[in-house]
Amino acid sequence: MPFTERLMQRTKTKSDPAIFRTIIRYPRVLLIATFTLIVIAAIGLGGVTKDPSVDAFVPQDHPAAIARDKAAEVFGLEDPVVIGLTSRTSESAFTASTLETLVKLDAAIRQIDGVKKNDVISLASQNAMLADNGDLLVEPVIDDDQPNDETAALALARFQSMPMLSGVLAAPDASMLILIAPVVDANNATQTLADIRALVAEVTDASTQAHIAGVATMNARLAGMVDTDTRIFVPAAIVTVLLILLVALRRVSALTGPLLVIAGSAAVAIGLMGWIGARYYLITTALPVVIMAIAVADTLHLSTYFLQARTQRADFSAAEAVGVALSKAWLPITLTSVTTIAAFCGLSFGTAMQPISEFGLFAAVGVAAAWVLSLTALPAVLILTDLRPSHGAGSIAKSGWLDRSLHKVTDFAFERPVISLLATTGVFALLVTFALQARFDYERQRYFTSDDLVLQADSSINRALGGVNFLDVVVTAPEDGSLMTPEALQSISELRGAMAELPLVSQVNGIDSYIAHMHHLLTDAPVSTLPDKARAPGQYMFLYEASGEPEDFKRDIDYEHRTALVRAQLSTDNYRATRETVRALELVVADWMQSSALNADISGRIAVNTGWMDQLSTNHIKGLLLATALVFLTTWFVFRSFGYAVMAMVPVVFGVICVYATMGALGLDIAPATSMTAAIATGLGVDFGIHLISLIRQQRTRGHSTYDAFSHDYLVVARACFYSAIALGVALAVICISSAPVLRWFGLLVSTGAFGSLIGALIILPALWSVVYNSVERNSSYALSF
Amino acid sequence: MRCLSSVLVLAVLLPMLATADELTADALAALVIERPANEGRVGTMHFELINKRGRSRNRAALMMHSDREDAQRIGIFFMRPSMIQETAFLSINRPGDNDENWLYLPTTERVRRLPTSDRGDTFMGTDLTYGDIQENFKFPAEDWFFSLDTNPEQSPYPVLHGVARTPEIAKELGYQEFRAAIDVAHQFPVKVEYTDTDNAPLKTVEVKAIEWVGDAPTAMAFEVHNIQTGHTTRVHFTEMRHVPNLDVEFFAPDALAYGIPEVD
Repeated sequence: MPFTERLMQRTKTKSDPAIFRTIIRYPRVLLIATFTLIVIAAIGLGGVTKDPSVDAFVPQDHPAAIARDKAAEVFGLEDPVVIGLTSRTSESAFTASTLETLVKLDAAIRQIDGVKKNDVISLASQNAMLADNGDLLVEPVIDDDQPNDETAALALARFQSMPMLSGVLAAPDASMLILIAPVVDANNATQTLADIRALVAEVTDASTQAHIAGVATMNARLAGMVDTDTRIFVPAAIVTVLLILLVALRRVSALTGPLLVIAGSAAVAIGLMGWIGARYYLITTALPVVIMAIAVADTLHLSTYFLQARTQRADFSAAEAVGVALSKAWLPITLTSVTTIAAFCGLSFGTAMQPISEFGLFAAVGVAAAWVLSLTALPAVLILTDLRPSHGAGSIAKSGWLDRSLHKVTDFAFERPVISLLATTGVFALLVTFALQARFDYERQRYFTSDDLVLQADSSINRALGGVNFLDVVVTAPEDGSLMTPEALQSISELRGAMAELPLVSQVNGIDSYIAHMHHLLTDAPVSTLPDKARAPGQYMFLYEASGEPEDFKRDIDYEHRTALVRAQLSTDNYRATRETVRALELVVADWMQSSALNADISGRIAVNTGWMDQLSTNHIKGLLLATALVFLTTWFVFRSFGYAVMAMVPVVFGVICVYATMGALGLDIAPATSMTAAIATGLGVDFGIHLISLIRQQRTRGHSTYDAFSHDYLVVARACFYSAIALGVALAVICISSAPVLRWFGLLVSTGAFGSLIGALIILPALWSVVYNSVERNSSYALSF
Repeated sequence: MRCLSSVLVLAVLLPMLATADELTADALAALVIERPANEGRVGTMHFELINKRGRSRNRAALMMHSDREDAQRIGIFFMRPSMIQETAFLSINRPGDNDENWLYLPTTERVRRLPTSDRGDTFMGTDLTYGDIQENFKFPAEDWFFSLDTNPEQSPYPVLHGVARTPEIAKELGYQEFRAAIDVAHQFPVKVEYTDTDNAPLKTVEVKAIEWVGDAPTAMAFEVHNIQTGHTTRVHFTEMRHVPNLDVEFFAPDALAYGIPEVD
């Protein structure tokens, strides 16, 4: 006898598992105990730390990320706030008023808490190297705190004499001035950014327009989205779910128990995050909603059975009705919870991305909490409130339009299985066509809506500078000081030249540019010519230090003159576009290292993006297969039937293909957040199949014919599944009101997966059962499993 | 003679230190200003420059210092590392006149005059400023308002507190305020804490060793740490000696190209 049937048999013969007798006997104690545990867990909410940065998705042990961190440490490269200033009165930003704004901003921004005052860079604090009868002069680019037209023209001339500053601290066409302000913590710069915005508003006059962007700004904006969304999502999801429960259960008083379960499950999961110090990522914003949406399904099934029992047996006390409801619902609730937990564990174990891994883990905790609370706190509340079904038209016992519709659909699928299967196969084929259009892609800009000021500022700055997306090569010499030789600099120059030829590259800078510039100024050598005397580079640097700051070149070469950064600016950070550039750079670097005595590592944000997106595209299918396999194995284990397990997976496949088809049809990227939706859909989708198959098996065990098994209680369960899917879909649709497009996509895709699975369960399961099991029954006379 | 003058200065000023606070602060500053200086001294100067990651660069140079009425002259002739060997720097600071800075680069075989520096400009890639070099651990009264720090943190020395007289001076110096623990016996600050023009902590200067060279107390080792950048400069002298009547010809700009001078 299969495992589940043994369990069901035991349930029938012994009435309820012992725990249920305790639940029924001591509801008050149980309720106080569960409530206390929820409160204890919820205290952890105060300890949750937010990390909304997009970089949180980057696996920290990825080689490109390690190279990036090394470069950041050596060269002080950080994710800054970037401010672009343009003139409203002139094509050129080198006007007296815009330059004065820059000067004021440069001085005042250093006073803001959270800004690294010594690392702020702009033309207001930058020196230009100038020649004066063969002498090297190091003079401020802007030579006056209150520029006039004359000093503005001088500043423009000095800027233009320093080609390495072009496209970095001002637009090549002089249309924009740039101020780069690194912050202490780029992932938690919300207050700093607010202060910067206030300062910009204060110092910017009517003739100057400011554009505030940069990674720190984007992260702060995302943090704002998380704050806003969290404040909106949870109450909105609760209200939505309760409304659906009200429609399904038709009693306001029936909402108390489910409310405790859904809010308690979310509180336990998120509270636990706080207790153990896990981080609250951008995608974690959707976690409470997902948990609540899943929890509502458990409560709906139990509450439906409870109300049905009290409707059918008016003499039943609440405790007796709970006993009946538990005996019918505990197994499917347990099975669906276990399989959903399995799916989330698969999601967690199958990814290298921390936010996704933790999402899976804590979602599994939330599902487990919902499972426990549904079987403990909910029955206790049902007993203590002595919930009774409503009478009249709104009664749960009345078969309304929904039951009639479900009956028709089920009947049609069962009676005309071939047509149903052919039709669904046709739809499936169509969905596959769309699904094949889904593409792995990533672009930071897509995390913002087109009207978002941060995105507009970022676009303006990118347009003006020709791109601020960096692809770096870290060049390393074998010994300290070895880069300050003509040979090493020549080698770097050749690498820089090769990088400049790559697609999407707008500019490449390196220390060789500065040495060549100094050589030109000191010796009248042709522009871009490097010195050939052995000690010249070192002495030029020494000469510069005599007039400039000791670490003016810290972003280009390290202190020991052993490691240098060659930095290319790309016009876009779009993964599909830039990966070709990264691949080409890998070839360039490999070729260059053959002829150079220097070593080179590819780094920079673009390389990091390419690295982890490659990893995502490689691991994505593995993660999905792992989640699916875990769900399948768990289902197989609990049903002890390969055939039933395969049947339960049919709606899952349909739901998953709906997810990818939606991506393909709407042009949504398979990116970190959206990549997890298919795995989540796997865990959610199998629930419908399990509920329905469990019910059919129960009916068959009780001697009902196959046709009868798809009537009566089947429709009750189908209705509960329908409302579960509606609750799940609508609750997740709440996420679509997020100001972050990526969260909207997430909500949409998981909703699509849930509805796809429901349709798969309601249409394909009866048809498939009709074809497969009726055939088996005809051949083996009521064989119940195969 | 210098020792005697020092004793006389101390004899006059020390009683004033014990009277009124305002007077005591000015007197303490005057005590440092009146510290005797060598007319000439020569030694090997060792620089250790350390960035905030703990990486260091070492340089060694022959240092010649001449302090005459017409001008203060400093010549630095680099010996190590080989990359900058025979590179030479000369600074001439005439009272009431702009300073002159010269640099000789062997690779270009030319003595170059460097642009006039502000006192707040960094000196040769160190954490010192040109002002620090010129003032030689002194605090000119025309730059600072003085007071005594009434609550020094367990300092065995009196602590002189200085505030820049005007914002312009603060900007020129790069310092808004300082607090200096004064070793009265040597008329020397042993620890100075500077704030920047926003009055945020900027850097500390610690004099690690003071020796008498000729008649003058001289800092033989000191460390400057920039709190804001994390950069540190350590300087110490070896073979320092008093050279009376140090020939000013050594300090002629053209002489920089002649290589490291030999001083008897």
